[in-house]
Amino acid sequence: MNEAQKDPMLEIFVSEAKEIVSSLERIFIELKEGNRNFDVAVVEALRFFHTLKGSSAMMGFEDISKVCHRVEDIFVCMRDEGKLPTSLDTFILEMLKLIDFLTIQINRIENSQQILPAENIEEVLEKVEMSLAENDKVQAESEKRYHIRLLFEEGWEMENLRAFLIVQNLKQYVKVLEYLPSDVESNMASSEKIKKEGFFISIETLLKKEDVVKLFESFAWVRDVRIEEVSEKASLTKEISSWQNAIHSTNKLINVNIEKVDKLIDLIGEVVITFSMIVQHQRIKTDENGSFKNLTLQMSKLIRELQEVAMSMRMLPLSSTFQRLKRTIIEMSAKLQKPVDVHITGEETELDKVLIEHLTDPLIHIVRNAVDHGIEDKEERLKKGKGATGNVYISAKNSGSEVVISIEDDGRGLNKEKILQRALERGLITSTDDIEEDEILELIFQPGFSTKEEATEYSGRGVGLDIVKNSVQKIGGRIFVESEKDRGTRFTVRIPLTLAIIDGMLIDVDGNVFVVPLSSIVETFKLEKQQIVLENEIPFVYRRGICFSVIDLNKMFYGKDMLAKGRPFYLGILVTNGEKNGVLLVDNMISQQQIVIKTLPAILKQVRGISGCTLLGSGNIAFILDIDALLER
Amino acid sequence: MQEELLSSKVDEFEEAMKDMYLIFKVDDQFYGIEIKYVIEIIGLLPITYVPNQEEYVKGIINLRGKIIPVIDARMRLLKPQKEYNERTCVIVTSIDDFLAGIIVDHVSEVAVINKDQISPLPQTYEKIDERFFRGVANLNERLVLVLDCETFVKPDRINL
Repeated sequence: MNEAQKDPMLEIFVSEAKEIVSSLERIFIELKEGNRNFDVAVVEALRFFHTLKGSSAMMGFEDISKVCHRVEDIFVCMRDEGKLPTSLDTFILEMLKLIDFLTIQINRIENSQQILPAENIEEVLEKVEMSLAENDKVQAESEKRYHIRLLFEEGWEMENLRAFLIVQNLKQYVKVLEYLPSDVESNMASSEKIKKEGFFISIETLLKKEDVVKLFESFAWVRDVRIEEVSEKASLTKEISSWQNAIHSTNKLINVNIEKVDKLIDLIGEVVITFSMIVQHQRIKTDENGSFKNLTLQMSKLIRELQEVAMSMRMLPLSSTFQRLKRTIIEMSAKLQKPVDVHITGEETELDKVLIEHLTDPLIHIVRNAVDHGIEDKEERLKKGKGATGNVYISAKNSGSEVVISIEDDGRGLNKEKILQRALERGLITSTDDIEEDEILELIFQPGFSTKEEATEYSGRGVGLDIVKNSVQKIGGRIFVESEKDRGTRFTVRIPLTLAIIDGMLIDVDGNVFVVPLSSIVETFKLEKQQIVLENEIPFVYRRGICFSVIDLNKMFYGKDMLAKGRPFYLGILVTNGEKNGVLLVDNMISQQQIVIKTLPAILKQVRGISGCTLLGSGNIAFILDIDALLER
Repeated sequence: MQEELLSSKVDEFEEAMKDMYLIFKVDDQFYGIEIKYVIEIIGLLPITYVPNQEEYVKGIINLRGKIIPVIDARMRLLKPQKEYNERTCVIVTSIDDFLAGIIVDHVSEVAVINKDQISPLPQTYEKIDERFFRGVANLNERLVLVLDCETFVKPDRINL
């Protein structure tokens, strides 16, 4: 359906509902992880369910609002009557089920399908209600603890000393347990922190909430007081993280239709191309007094900045994806009775939204494999001298123009003999003799490798790693696997940052134009014939005492030998991927310009050494070289 | 309500397109592909050769900023190559969102071929790739070979 025909109200509802559901998911996962205070979580979840109830009722989705209403009752019961679920873990798993149900409903609404009747989730709701009924929390009639966040008015400066003043003052009335940053009296730098995140205090008192708030009224620079009652052992440090999330979510954001952003980026791409045509225009090139040149220089700076802003608009942190992975692991771990710890690093790494969407399912698949097949049962682990609890390490980091995501488990590792055997059975290889050690693991990415024999709830649905590989390749990424027996398995996915614009050098190889990413060029030089060593037809370049292998693009792509031209000299471009180096022989260097990367049509076979293509100002197509792949040869 | 109306319109449209075929010529033989796959027909644009492809994949073209692959119908049908001329054109098709161009000698017309007009081809002849053909139809005393656009355009081993 066309974007314009969608009801804007509905669109807003769906996008808000999605946000709510994912926030809810985060709350319960953090609760499960022990990173969130239960009482705080209840209040927050309650607020989200309440909002969703209201908006879905307004949009006429009775079945959603009914469910939310029921849940709201449960949460109100927990908040006001202090009731607790009998088992927190089961409670969380049931809530996650409920969140899944809501997600399905919202997706159905988005795709204009009938939503499911509320009866489908009845069982889960009843379970949760029952678990509450049996348990009554004994309310402690003693001093209460509060966690407080103060936000200061801007422009007062010396925030750290002001904070200290508050603490001193507060001590007359209540017992101050802890405050953060804790070094306000001595460290001037904490002032910045307070400005940004606020000042956190933990107190113990018999006073009521309202009375505590009043204590802060005498301080003119306090702009906002947020106060939560907490249970005995809640630590302030842990709680701050959940509050910080809340602060971030109140950042000033607007929802923009991604198609509009795409259009904007496309347009900027066109501007880049057109501008490069202007720069190369004869009239400007031959401009005598240089005034045009100066203008174009300024203009190119502006355009570059514009591009960066536009690109960054589509960038999102990987945190929500990682959260889903974590959730998958938590659920599986509970169902399969395998304790698993999840370690996540680099979740703030940003990636293009579209790429993230394509990446989530493959990553979930890998994580499932890790928990289901990789990590051993408790007994087996103990026998092997490992800890009873398995570990899954999920990490992301930027590396040049790529994002590297790795998923590693400390399980049993891949069994090479079994892989070979299965590959033989499936007819993927004909004999085990001529297969290199490092090619064995690659076999698991072959279509048809997956088997349904070991079907469990989580894998073996006939969807194999070949699909995972395909989806990664679809977005221009690559996937690698390493494994060591009994030590574990690591999957590494490398994906280009974005469908981006790069700086490139246009080169001419026998009349064909290629783009070399500027980031991989070390230097360019004129290459005399005698600097090229030809041993057994294999050319080397000798330069400053080092021998570099020559990458003959003409031979590689067109089957014509570059050196056969017998020119007295060539131009050499020394390229590197950080580890390996090589020299490209080219006829000519054309220009240096910004390149809008376009992917090659998916129905073409992949060409090793070419990562994509771009349109030149002339309308012609030039290939972008994949330096990594070229150096791997 | 509005959506239902819309989707029923789409159905109607698809219904109307169902039996329509675009007829083109390679040598003296007529071929037909379902019109629902056809986006547009363009003249020959400069083709950029792409290394490491099947022989019938001639390369890629720049269609108003979109990069699309072009395949040579003649070579896909295992016929000898012939130089392109001013009547050569490219049928731009879209299958599951993948755009691809088919280079043909010339495009003749759009015709209606009902299902029962199509009779199957006889069993294998050596130089015929049966997967491509749904059969042959008699269209006003002209024999049209009906192609299966999907198998014809998509490569044998798709690399997605």
